[in-house]
Amino acid sequence: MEEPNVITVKVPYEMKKKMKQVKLNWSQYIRECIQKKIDQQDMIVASAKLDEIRKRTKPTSTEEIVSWIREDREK
Amino acid sequence: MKWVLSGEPYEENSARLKKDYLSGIINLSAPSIAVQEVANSLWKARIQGRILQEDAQEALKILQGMRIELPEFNWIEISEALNIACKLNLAIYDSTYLLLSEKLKTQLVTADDQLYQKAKEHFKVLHIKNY
Repeated sequence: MEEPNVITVKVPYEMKKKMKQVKLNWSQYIRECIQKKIDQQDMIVASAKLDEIRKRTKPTSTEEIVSWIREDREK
Repeated sequence: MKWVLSGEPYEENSARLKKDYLSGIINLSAPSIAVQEVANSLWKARIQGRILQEDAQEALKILQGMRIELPEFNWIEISEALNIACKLNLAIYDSTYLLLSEKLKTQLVTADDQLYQKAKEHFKVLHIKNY
């Protein structure tokens, strides 16, 4: 298993004081926040790739797509 | 599908939905059968020359990265979908989308006029044209 890396986050003194009042695994919380942001960024990249594909497709109306799905659902 | 295939109407609405999803304003879920339904539609688009095969395959891989939740239903839950199907005279596939929206206590967004018309009195359904 890969060794975890350490990152340092500087926070104001008051914030640190308040953090101590909250019963929470802050490391875990921050890890989850970072992961969420990474996932969001991955989705933005994925979305841009979809847009590129979309530009290369020939127009298909919504009605056509619905009819394709519907004809199979009702077979 | 509107995220992959171009063409009016509702292009802007669909893009708005995606933007809101990417911004974290909304969450998106679909019954797991959506995977087959999207793949099948892309196959039909491929047959009709609307999309290249490699693009269709790539699009499916990219959709995985969009992290849309795809819950599966068990036998008991699908019996609830059967109940909805009988009540509203819908196909089971339609009913699973309604069932999921009900279970998640959220709104179903659809571009399907027929589904919208049949379900709007009984479920929280929004037509994509109104998004």
